[in-house]
This record gives sequence, structure tokens and C-alpha cells, in this order.
Amino acid sequence: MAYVAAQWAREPRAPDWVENGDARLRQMTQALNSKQHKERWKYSKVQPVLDLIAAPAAAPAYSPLPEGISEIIYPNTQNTAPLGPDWENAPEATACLFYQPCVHVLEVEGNIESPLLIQHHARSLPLVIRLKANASLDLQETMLQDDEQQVQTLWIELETGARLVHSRNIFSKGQHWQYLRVNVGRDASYALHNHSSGARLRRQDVHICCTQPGANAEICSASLVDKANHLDQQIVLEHSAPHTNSRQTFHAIGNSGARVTFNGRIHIHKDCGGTDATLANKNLSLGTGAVINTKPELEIYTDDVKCAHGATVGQLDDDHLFYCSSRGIPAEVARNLLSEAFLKTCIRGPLADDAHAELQSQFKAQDHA
Amino acid sequence: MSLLEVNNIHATVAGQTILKGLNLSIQPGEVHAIMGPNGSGKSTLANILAGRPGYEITAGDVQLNDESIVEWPPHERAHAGLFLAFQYPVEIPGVSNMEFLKASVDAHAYARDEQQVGAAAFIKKARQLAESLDLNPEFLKRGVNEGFSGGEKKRNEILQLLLLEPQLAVLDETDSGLDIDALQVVAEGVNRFRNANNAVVLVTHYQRLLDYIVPDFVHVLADGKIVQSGDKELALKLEEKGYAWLT
Repeated sequence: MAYVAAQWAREPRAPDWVENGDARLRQMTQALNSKQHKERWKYSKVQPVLDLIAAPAAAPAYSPLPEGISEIIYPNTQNTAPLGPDWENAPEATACLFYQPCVHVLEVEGNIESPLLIQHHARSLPLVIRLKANASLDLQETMLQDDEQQVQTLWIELETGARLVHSRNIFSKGQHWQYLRVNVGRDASYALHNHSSGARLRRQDVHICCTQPGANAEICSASLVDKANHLDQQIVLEHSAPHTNSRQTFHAIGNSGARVTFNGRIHIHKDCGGTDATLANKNLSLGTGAVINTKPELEIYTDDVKCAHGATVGQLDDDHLFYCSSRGIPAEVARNLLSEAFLKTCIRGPLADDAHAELQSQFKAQDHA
Repeated sequence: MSLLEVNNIHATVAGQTILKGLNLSIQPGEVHAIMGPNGSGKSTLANILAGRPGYEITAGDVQLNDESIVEWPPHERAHAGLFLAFQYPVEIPGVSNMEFLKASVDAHAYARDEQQVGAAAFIKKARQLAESLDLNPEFLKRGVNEGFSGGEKKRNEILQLLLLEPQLAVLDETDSGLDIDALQVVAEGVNRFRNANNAVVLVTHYQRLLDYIVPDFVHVLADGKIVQSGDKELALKLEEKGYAWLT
């Protein structure tokens, strides 16, 4: 049995696929023990995620691939892996890339009119989606809700002028770790519509890099975390080229006993003038005993940029509640109406109707609980 | 039987006593105007009637159709037929006007054990009412009062009044911030609402509203109690002389 590192407070067990003395183990261990990653894992236990990464994985189910999308399956040895390692920024995801037996790569050319539907079940093999220059795609991700343990790593590359609208509905209730990396190229555009519930363990790592001038990234996220459930969102948005834009809006509701964590960092590198970036995280704490941790961060190394960030944790507005009740709407119904409205402003994209329906059913379930 | 009886009400807001023994009796079919200087307790009275949290009755009673409503939550008062048109209607992003109105009407139907109105019929009625109040029906798709001008918010209040058809409408400075055209539209809506079975309480600073909604009674509120009552002539006198002669 190997150990990741003695410094870890609880000495987490290395996954079974790691062999003692493996150089890659050392790299992952070193990264996970850095200050940056210890902070990332402050509010979620890393061990269950390492164990999830270790388990055998299967390819996700796709809708029939539309014309213009081709699939390549790479045997995943160090020499053939389609992506370079990024132990420093993404140690767990890099581990996934290297230790799973293969990587599925989807290459997208042209304007794809039909959406690409991906349904994940249990643990998915790493997936890479590459949009060639000026390609456009509507990507929709869902997952089976019954699975107890789920893992996904998704790496997306957008070449010059490519456009991707990426929607995902995530309402499973077991253990779930999800990593998303997006590299946005010159004049390319990426939009993420993220709708989720809490779960026994739900960890969402998102790392978006605007790597060329004109790159644009947007994230809109709505989450409802129910009693005693967990959601930890770790978001990094890097601007490593001048004249790039990003907009991020995250709304979350934590009900009684929920544990919600948000850590969002905008990182503007040197010589990236003309960058325009905003990040807003708003949280509603409902009921008693909800714990909400939020930390929006700016890391800016260029003077000539526009950048704003903010976070709030609050409760429903008393004036709104009174306005509703003065019109005959009972307090409990008013609370649900206003809570839904709070999330609704962040529910967008082609999966919005499904997300509405799911969240409504969760609100109703709370009423009857 | 009175529609509303306010008996010797004393009320506090944030620990400060605002109403100090107020009495008011309203019969079906009547319009009462409540006037008075700033800080006299007019809006407190409106909020006390509607049951706003933070407005505490420390003595006295309020009866609607012979039932004390002092302990009732706001939504039950609404179900019993009480409606407050707000001085400053709130904006609620994310809840569309149409959704809000339907939820209100459904809640009333549920409380009365009545059949809910079908969505199509409801939408048609709401749009017709909006048009009749010179309010763009497309606004019904927006968030509640979201991006509305002051006049549009007040017209939206009257739209709700006409939809919910309460027994007692309390209009808290509905005329404030309205230009003369909007004032006429709002007044026309209130007059359309009036009938022999309901009543209106108009809280206002200015006599001009009473040119369009003619009151049966005018009351002057000062230092938390009614110090003078009369008919519409009293409002004209106040317009001419102010309040100083009464206090």
C-alpha cells in the first residue's frame, strides 16, 4: 500500500492503480501537497475522489455523432496521450488522463447543427473535444441519476473562431467528481450553462484559459443544495492573452444542513492589457444549519484591465416575501417562488427546461419532507 | 355590519409608537380618504391593516367582516378580502408578472375552495386588464415590476386589484410619482373596481387624487390618531389651509 504523502493530515491512501515509486505518483503527491491544492481541498475530502479516479471507467454514451464530428480512441500511454500533463494545475485530472486505459477524442469541424448529447454513467473515461477553426457546436451533458459514484474529466480545446455552447444538468445524489478544462483560442467563444444539485459529495473543478486575443468565456451556474448535501465548486479563469473577456455568474441555494463551497479565481497574466473579466457569486442560505463558504479571488499582473468580483450570502428579501403574502400567496409558497426565481436568473441554454423541471420537483420534495 | 372596524388601535414600528388610539369604521360601498402631514401614521395604518411584519399592534383591535384579523398572517388577510396597493411596489427579478399574478389568483381560489382559472383564460384576462390600464401586455412577461417606471408600477398595482377583486382596497399613496395622465388611468381603474359591496381606503397627501376618486369621507390623521373627519369639502379646505389649523 502506498501513501500519497506523509504531510497530509489523514495520510490519504493512494489509489490502487498507483505503484510505489512511480514518478507520476511523486508528481501528483507533490502537487497535492502544495499550498494551492491544499486550499482547493479545504472543504472536500480528497480521498473519496482519489478512489473514484482509481476505479475502472467506461466510455460515455453519445447521441449518434453528427456529420462533422469524428471520434478517435487513443490508447493512453504517456507517448500517445493527446494532451500534455498538467500536474501543477490539475493533478487529479492529469492522473485520470494517464492512468485510465484510453482517451476518447472528438474532433469537430464546421458548423454542427444537431446538438451533441452525452450521457455519463458511473465513471467515464477521459474525454477530449477539439473544435477546429471556425467550428461551432451545441454540447449537452447529462448523467444517470441512479449511479452512486460518478467521475468525469472533460478537456475542451477551441481553435481560432470556434464557438461552443456547453450545457450540463447534474442532479445525481451520490459521490461525484467532475473536472472541466477549456482552452479558448483566438476569437473563440465558450459558454457554459451549469445546473446542478448537491450530492453526498459533489465536486466541480472548472479551469478555463483564454489563451489568445479575442477569446471569450461565459459561465452561468445555478445550484440547489438540499439538506445535508454537499457542493464544492472550484473555478479558475485564466486570461493569458490581451483583449480577452469573461463573465461568470454563480447562484446557489443552501438549504438546512447543506454545505456549499465556492472558490472562484480570475487570474490575469502579465501583458494582458484590455482584459475584461467579471465574477459574481450569490448565495441564499435557507433554513437552519446551512454552511456556505465563498471566496472570489483576483490575481492581476497587468495594469490596463477591467475586472470585478463579488460574493454575497443572504436570505430571502423580507419585502419580497411580504409583497407575495399581501397578494394571498402563503409564506411557504412564496419562499419557493422566490427561491426558484433566484436560481432561474442563472438557468439558461438548451437544457434550461429540464433544469427547471428538476429543480421544481426538488423544491416540491422539500415541501413534503 | 361594518366591512372594517378599527377600534382604538395603538401600534409601534421599531419600538416607536406611531398610532395612538385610532378609530375607523368603513361600510361596504364607501370610499375613505386618509390625509395628514408627513409622519402622522398614514402608511403605518396601511401596513398595520395588511399585517406587515415589524408593525406591531400593542392595543386595540381590527375587524374585517366582524372577525378580528390582528393575529392573522398577511396572506390570510388577503384571502379574507384585504388588498394593499403599495406606495413603493418592489421589483422581483426572476418571477414573471404573469406567474406572480397566477400564483396570487390560484392562492385565493385554493383558500376559497374554488376551481382554479385555466391558464389560457387567465392570460387573456390579464392581458386585457393590462391594456385597459394603458400597460403594455408584454410587460407581463417581465419580472414583477422589473424595469417598470414609477407610473407603470402603480398601474400594475391596480391591475392586481382588478384581478383579485378584494372587498377592501387600501391604496397607500398610489398617486405619488404619477403624472396627470397616469393619475387619471389609475383613478379610472379604482373607480371601475368600486361597487356596493366593496370599499376603498385612499391614503394620500394631495387633494388632486380626490378630483378623480370622489371620497365619501375624508379623515385627517395627526400624531397617530384621526383628529378631523368630514366629506370631500374637508380635502379642499386642507388644500387651501394646510394642516396647521388642525393640530
